[in-house]
Amino acid sequence: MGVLIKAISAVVPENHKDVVELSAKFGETEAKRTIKNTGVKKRHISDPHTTALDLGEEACLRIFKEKGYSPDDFQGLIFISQTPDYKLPASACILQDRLGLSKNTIAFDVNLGCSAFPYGLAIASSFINSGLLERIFLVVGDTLSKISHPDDRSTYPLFGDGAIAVVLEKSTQNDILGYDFGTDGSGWRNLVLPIGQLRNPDLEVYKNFSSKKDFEKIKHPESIFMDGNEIFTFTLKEVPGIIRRILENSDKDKDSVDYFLFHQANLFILNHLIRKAKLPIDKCPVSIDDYGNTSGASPALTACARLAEINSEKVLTTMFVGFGVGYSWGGTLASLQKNTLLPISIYRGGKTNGH
Amino acid sequence: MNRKARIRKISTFLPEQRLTNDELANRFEKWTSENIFQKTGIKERRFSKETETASDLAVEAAQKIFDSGIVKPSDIDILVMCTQSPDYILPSTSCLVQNRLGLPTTTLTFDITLGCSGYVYGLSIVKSLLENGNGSKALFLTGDTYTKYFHSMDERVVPLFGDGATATYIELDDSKDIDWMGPFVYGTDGKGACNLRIEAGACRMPGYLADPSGKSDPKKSDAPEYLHMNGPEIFTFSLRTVPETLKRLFEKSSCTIDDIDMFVFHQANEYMLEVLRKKLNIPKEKFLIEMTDVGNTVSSTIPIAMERAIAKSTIHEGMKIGIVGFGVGYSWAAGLLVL
Amino acid sequence: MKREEVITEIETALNAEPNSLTVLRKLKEIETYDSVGQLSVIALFDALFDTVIEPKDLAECKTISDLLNLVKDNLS
Repeated sequence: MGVLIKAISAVVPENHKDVVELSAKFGETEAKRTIKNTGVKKRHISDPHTTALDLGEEACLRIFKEKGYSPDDFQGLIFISQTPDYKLPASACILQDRLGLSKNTIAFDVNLGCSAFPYGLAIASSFINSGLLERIFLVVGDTLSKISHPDDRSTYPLFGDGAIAVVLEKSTQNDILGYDFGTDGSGWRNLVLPIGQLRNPDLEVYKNFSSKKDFEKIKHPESIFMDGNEIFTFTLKEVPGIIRRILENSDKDKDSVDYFLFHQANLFILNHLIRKAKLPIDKCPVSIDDYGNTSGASPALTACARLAEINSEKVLTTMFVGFGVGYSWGGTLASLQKNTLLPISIYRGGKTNGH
Repeated sequence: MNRKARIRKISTFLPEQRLTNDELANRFEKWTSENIFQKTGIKERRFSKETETASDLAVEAAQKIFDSGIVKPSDIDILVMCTQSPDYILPSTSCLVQNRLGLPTTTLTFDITLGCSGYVYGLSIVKSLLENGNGSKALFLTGDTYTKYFHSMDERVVPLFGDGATATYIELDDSKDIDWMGPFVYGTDGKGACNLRIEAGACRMPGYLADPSGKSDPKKSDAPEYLHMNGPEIFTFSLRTVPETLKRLFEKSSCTIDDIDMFVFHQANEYMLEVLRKKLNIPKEKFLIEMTDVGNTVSSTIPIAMERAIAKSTIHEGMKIGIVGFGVGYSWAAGLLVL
Repeated sequence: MKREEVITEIETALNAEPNSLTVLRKLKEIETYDSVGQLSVIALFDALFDTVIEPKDLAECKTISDLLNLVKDNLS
């Protein structure tokens, strides 16, 4: 028994910001230095009425259109996001209705960021391999732009919005060849949004109760905070091990992998990681230049943005590696059959009320 | 022999502070302590302190599992937490819990964001992960502090809900050739999303969209920042959906009511449970009600009821238990367990 | 690796003028020793010595000499 990856689509919002906007905001020298470090020349930003759920829905609708599926073909839907429509109910329930999936659908949200894609593949595949369903949508999306502070030079110019959708299907063959996962919650304060949920519902509680030691570096507690040095050292310490373990577990070597698709954390980090892991640079496509750091969607979004054309001609053996917020990390070795990857597309819809 | 996932232990943790019917009768003039009990079946419910979150409660519940000696933190390879009251927007609450419990960094960890259906869904997710090579010993936590989402004068919700957390230890077991958990059936209907939700505070309606003028009065009970529930809609949804779901479960498992030793439904409110019990012709002695002193603890209601029944020996090893979770989403699921 | 060689590498990593950095040079006076510069030092030491230094140790460094101390076991 196995699981096939039948389609992957990626969607970004229409509006984008680039170096011109950054220069106007931070000055030309600073803007150039930021771009050199992050690698982000352009990133796509959702408007106030567009959410990750809207982008995820569009990614699913594209798959319906391009691959000829209909809503009745699916028995499950997993939505992974840290920027859902509501605190409750789960956005997956809303998406079930918007896509017209059956009322017998298995649907739930998972809260993960950078590591979402490999985790999502594992959870979805487990359902299929347990005989619970034939076909499932995995949707991963975030609008980090909505939770970044415009004055924060370490996050604002880095994050872009986007979503991906994957169809996983029961089969006698298997596209999913190996996994590795891990968690280290001791790194929680290095990528955190302190205010907005129950630990610190508002600024007043934050000021009264939060440990100063936990948040002394944070200037904008109502927005996402990232300690670049800590994230970099975490990446260097953990990610080479993920790659090595997946190859060992699936009895493969580096040379048999066509492409490594990393979470697009930041170009400086990625370049150093690629060197440290001794990977050929041409096997490590990058999408951060045109799309920014799109959180959990980024490994699959990179695949759609950079490999759709080559995948139209050949089967690709790919390793997806997600790592970051949590800290949480995961990797998957997967075969992408021909025409699995749909070219990245733009969401042009704008809804004034979501549901 | 195939190794199948089996529940080995459930533990629970409730915050100390209590909201009694007497206090509610003082707050809401039109009610008496007695008629609150008549309507809800609840005498008191627990609520968390301002600085106490679902993760604090869940860590306590999990610690009880470890204190029992049945498993060590270093042996856990999967941690799933079901909550709709996370500590932060990011990172996931389960990552914080992994750290606080000292679980290995090889642990596969994530949050699921479900409510009333969360325990049944969560068991199913953990079972699937365990039985497909992702680990052999899992900790499944539920925890919520819904009371923090309410306006204190919202009479539709304040009397019904309480805070709490549970921990369920599940491991692969090949001691008998049976499926300890399952089958499961599931359901989702997003058309019901509007009947139990918090409209503002996430991405569909961030603060600046909820109140562009910045002047609205957050103290009003109908403000979109608070949790709102349409009781009658939830009631009719439950009456429509639960019987049909049980029917599907019976078909899938080739069981009837007679084959099930005990039914544990999501403890939403006693009046609704009694209506359902009668509609389904489930005998009283096979229908667990365990909410008088805790109220509706969202995804914790089923495991709290089970843990108490186990402690009293009302249910015990070898029994077949039917569980049904239903509500916010709308989302629902039902399953069979062999203890 | 000799101390002088490491200092030359640090100069390259920070885009500083050759021979402009001495052991006693204060880090806060180096214009390019900002958040990007710090990442460059972490990357440099990892590339040279396969050692990932701890950000909190880096934060305590005040001079070039302090940076060298972080990798003193690798220096000849």
